Amino acid sequence: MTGVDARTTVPFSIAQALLDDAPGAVVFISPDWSVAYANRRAAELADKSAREIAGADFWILFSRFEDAATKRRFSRVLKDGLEIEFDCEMSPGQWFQFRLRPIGNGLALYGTDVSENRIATQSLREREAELTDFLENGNVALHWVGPDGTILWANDAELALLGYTAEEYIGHSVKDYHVDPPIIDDILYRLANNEKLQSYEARLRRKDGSICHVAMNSSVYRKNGKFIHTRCFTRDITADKAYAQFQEHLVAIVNSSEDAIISQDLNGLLTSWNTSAERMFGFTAEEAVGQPVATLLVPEDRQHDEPEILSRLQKGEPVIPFETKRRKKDGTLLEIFLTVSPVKDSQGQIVGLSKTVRDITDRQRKERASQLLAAIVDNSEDAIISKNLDGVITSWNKSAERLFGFTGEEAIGQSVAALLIPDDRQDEEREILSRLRKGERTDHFETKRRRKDGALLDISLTVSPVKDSRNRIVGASKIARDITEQVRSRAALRKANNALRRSNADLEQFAYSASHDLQEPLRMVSTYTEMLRRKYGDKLDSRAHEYMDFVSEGGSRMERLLHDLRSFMQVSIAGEGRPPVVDSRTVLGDTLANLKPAIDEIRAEITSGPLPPVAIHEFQLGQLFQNLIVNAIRYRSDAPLRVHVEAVREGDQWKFSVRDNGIGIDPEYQEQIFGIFKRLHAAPEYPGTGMGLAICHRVLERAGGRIWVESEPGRGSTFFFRLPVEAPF
Amino acid sequence: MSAEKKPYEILVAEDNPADIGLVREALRKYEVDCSLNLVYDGAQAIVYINRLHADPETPQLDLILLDMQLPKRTGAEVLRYIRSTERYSRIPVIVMTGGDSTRAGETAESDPGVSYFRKPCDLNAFLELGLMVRRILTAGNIGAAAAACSETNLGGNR
Repeated sequence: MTGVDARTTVPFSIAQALLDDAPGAVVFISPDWSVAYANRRAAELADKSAREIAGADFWILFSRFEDAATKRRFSRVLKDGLEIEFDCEMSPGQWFQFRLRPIGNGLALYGTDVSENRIATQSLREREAELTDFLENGNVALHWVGPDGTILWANDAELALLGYTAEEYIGHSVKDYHVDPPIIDDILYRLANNEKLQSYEARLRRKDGSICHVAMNSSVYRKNGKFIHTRCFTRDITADKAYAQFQEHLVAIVNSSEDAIISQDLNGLLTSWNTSAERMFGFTAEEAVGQPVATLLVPEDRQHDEPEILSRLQKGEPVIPFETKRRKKDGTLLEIFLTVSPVKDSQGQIVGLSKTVRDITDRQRKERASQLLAAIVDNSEDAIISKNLDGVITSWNKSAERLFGFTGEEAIGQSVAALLIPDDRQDEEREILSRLRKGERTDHFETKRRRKDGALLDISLTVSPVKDSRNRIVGASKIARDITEQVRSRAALRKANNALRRSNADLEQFAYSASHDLQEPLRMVSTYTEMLRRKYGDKLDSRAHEYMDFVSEGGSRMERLLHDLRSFMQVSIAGEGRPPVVDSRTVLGDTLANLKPAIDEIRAEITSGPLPPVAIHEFQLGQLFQNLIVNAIRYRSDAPLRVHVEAVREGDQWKFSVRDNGIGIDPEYQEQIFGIFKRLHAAPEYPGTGMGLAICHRVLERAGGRIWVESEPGRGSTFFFRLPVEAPF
Repeated sequence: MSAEKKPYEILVAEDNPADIGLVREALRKYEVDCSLNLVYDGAQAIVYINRLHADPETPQLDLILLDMQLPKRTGAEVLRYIRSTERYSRIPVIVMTGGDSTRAGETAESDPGVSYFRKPCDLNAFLELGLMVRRILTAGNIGAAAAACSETNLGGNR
């Protein structure tokens, strides 16, 4: 073209040929709307030959344009001289872009086939709309945030996720919707520094107030390096979070289980190992997981366990929980109770198994201990029976068989009352059962029970309540001891004792009578010696007088002895029965009145503290005071005699003391002075029968008390005795 | 009671001759003018009183000295018999005991005509029995005799 001079005149035929070769359609339209020229492409469009076209009416040729609107536009081009462009579908799928411009006094219409362009543009438009639709309506929540934190845009999914309308969300600060607003500063800071956020977790507040856990992917859209807005994909992970928490709980449950919970694959390799497994076996999870269970835990003699479990599971048979043994890391053996269940994948295929392991070493030990107990019960000499609260026998040991003659089979299930209790003792069982229900024991209760052969046994029965683990009384254990022999010997003993008591009483009676009867001849000796002295004294020489003195002295000494012996005997005779309560002050007063001549004679000073009422026979207490005071008088020192009587309370007893300032008693003899006829001094020096303290001793023996002396020779003695406040029986 | 010279009639029921000797000595010491009628066991005592009772001509008894421990029939039985008779239901009786007051006391505690004398070992104390007898006889009535008795009895105890 460059070589062609524009001013060169091209012959019309050549121009026509050139126009015919052009890919576009060219039409010259005369002002009267007749076609002046149409090239080949145009003729094709009009579906006419070139000759047919020339001079033909444009609107008839191109009827496609013959609508009022197009006619008006064409007319305006002709009138205004402004060119227009427009697209028109000439036939289905065939699009032309037309340019219409005035040329000369007519119009030139250029048409270019843009069908292909048109298709391309169309699909572009469709894609854009789809994309927009995808962004707006796709199931991914999206939003844009400006650099200042204002939400610029959000799609329906985002709005639906949070429950806001567009007005309530778009244009507001994104901080208003975050549960943790500071997060926004972090997000914006990171994005501004060209970081892309991946699964950044945040918590958003829904319109209804609930919290939505989200993971965000975000990056910045920049234009010419300038931060325009963020592009943020928001994924709802609330459910994931809940699931994760559920998972965590599961793990926690498994880990907090007292039982070891482990899993393994079908090759026997351990796949999980909880905390209790660590504790129970001593291996950490790292040490255990991936290891074959057979070599890690199973002892030699239990190696058959594992293949058996596997083969059962694979056949779809259940594994019944069983007891076996496993080895700990330190080599010690554990007794365990093993529960096995298959682990299946989503298709129901068995992919492994889980095991729950309970350490029953302790339980086994307890079981052995209870077996031992059972053995002890069985071998006991005593019959040991248990029964429920209805009195029905629930266990029966060997001694029970031997003692009562019934076998366990015969006895268990029978009522105790019907089987063993004699008719006249049926009330006992009711009493025992009612005590049991109240939780009370019956201890060493002596009674009679019937053997199978009808013979009656004397037994000692101890019944104690048996409680279950919740401390409810569910029955009783009875221990029955055969005391037939014991009862027999006790009866014999009682008989012997009674005989002894009788003979003792006889002896006492005899001694008492003797002490009386001996007095009569003694009186004859005394009175007639005196008569002799009076009537014939002047006829006797001094030696005869001396002899008579001996006779008199002997007589009076014997009289005193008999008197004391009588008192001694009287202590028991006058002390029969439950002692009354007497006022010891009154009794002391009476005693001192009796002794007044003797007390006055030596000018003894006898004082007393407050004295209480005590449980004792008056005669006995009188004897105590009398003998102790006579004793003080008899064994006084050269100093004027002072005696003090007092009593102090000690628990349920009164401790009396009679303190003197006499010659005292050598510690060596402080025990023996309470013996009968025991004397420490020669008769002429200190007259006495040796009965006084023996009487005191006997009194205390009878009254259930005790007497003793504390003394220092030369400094006096204090006699103590205790008496009960209340009668002892 | 009118004739001063008339001796008192006293029955002594006592089996022990030595005690009879002492009673005699005591009555002599306190110059009790009396005739003693002696029986040696309880059965004899009852027979004697029965005979006196049956025969009103026999002399009236003024006092009975009765030992408690008599053979055959006890002093208590004899005393019961005496009190059952019309004639001697109120006669003064001195019951003599062997030094055991508890045994003697059981018989006739409430009888005001009965006095008790516990035979002492001491001669002087025994001879006090004479004084006791004289007081009862001279008192002439039972109430006074009882008073005299208790007084004498106390003296005998000391």
